[in-house]
Amino acid sequence: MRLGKLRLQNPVLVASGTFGYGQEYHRLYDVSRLGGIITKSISLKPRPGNPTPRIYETPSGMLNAIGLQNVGAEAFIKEKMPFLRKLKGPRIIVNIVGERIAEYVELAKRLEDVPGIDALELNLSCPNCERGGIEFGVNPKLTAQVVAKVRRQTRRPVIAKLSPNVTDVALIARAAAEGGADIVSLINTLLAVAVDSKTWRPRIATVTGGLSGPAVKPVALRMVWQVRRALPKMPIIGLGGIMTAEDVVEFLLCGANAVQLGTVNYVNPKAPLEVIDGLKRYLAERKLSRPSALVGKLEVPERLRGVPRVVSG
Amino acid sequence: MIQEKAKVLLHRRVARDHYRMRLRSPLAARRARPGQFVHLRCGEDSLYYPLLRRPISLLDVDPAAGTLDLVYKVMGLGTRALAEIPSGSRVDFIGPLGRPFSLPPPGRKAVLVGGGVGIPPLVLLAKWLLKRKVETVALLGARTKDWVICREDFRKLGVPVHAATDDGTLGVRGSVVDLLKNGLSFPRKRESDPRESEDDIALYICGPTPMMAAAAALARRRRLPAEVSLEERMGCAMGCCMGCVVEVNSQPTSAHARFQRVCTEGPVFSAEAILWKT
Repeated sequence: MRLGKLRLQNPVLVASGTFGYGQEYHRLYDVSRLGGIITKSISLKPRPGNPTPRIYETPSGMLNAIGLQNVGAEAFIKEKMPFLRKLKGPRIIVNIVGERIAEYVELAKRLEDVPGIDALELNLSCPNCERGGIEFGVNPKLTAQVVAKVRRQTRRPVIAKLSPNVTDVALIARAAAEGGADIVSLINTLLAVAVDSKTWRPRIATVTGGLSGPAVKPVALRMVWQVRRALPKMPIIGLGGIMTAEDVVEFLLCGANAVQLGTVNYVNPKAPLEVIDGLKRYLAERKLSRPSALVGKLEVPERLRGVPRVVSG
Repeated sequence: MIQEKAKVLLHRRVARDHYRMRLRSPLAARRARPGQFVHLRCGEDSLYYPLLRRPISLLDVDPAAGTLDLVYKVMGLGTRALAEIPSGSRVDFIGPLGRPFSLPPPGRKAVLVGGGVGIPPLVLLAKWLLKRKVETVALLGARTKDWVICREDFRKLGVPVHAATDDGTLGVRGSVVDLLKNGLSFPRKRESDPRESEDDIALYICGPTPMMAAAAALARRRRLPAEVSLEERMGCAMGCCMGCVVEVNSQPTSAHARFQRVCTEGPVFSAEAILWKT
């Protein structure tokens, strides 16, 4: 199947931050069957990450505030890329993150001549240290700027990963498109807090964390639906709480062309394979030839179809 | 490392809030080493709460029978759901996981220091130490007698147990660290040189963090090699989520390595490596 300029063997990818650099899960199953592997966010320099506790389980979900702990670009290229490069099946997508626009640009430049990378995904949920720590991805202008500047540094497809912590996700998606994003992926985690009523302390050292897992799926479906209506032609990768092949079908119906599996990797490591097979069965049972037959096919009243008028922005 | 749905051969309450589970997995049983753990799915497949797996350390492994034994304490949602799984059904587990204890050369002596639910992994360790002819004693502590678990396992192995309880219902009243302070329970070869007699002793510590920190401090003062086995909330247990990290005494050149993963670099660490927050 195609996703913009990307060719995928199937529409099931694994989400950044939940799958390390591929090698970890290869100890349990053959990861070359995946549609794509999106690496843990890479920053220019190594990052130590946040103090602990960093994760906490919530009803049908989990909170995390890892703080982008990673080995940095140089170690990633030297130590992690050799394994990923050897995998023939999946597309290798490197997720990059920066605290300032120049850092994204520098990373894109550094990775441009590294072989074996099929696309870049921009993590726009990092606090921007030039703008008082707000996330790039909550501001349409910043989103467009980051995307445009990275776009100029690379021949590879650029995927903008959208934050759900916004009033109007379609507005941000449009800004990413204007900046030249080839693909958008959504949603990143929802900003959330968990509290211990006994000790009066937050469950996560940094107080706020990102909520993921089945609990966020309805929000993710809503946002995919909104972005699809706003951008009928944009390739969309949907994610947020996918556990099963049926969940994938729901995302496709709402307008996603492909999906990423994240938190489920922790719960059931072989879920991506089960989802790939389950989706095939679902399509075969309905005599559908490919997943694209489901994309955007949500049955809705006439008045809710088509592109909504732009109200904001 | 494998993931499979293992049959639960035995599952019973062994003390208040404590359960023993025996899983059949010949492949995992052949590979398992003392200090390693399994990551168990606790809830029903169709329910997503508890969502995450729970890491449980190995109490005993029988490669011939192809079984793994675990003892866990019901602490919250996950372990409560685990306790309801009936014998004869299956449990989805990943394992064996993590860095095992390192074993001293034969002729050394080992002191196992266990607190409460930290005691079980020391049983498997004792079994392996005895196979290597390492003289072993266990110092076990808990709040009360019932929670000084696995005493019978040590007795069967022939490992002497010294106990301490907060309420004095078993052994001395106080903490297991007091037991450690008051003598390492091995006769000294030469009283004149306490260092020589202690040189060949290795400490293995597993329990609540304050207890481990105190035992680690004691080990450092007496210059005894010591390993600790840590417990943390875990996401993947595969080294991906970076959720279960612990802060270590890092070198200035490797600031990004300040946090290490309990699931991968651990759960067993050298006691000196840990940045104890006391």
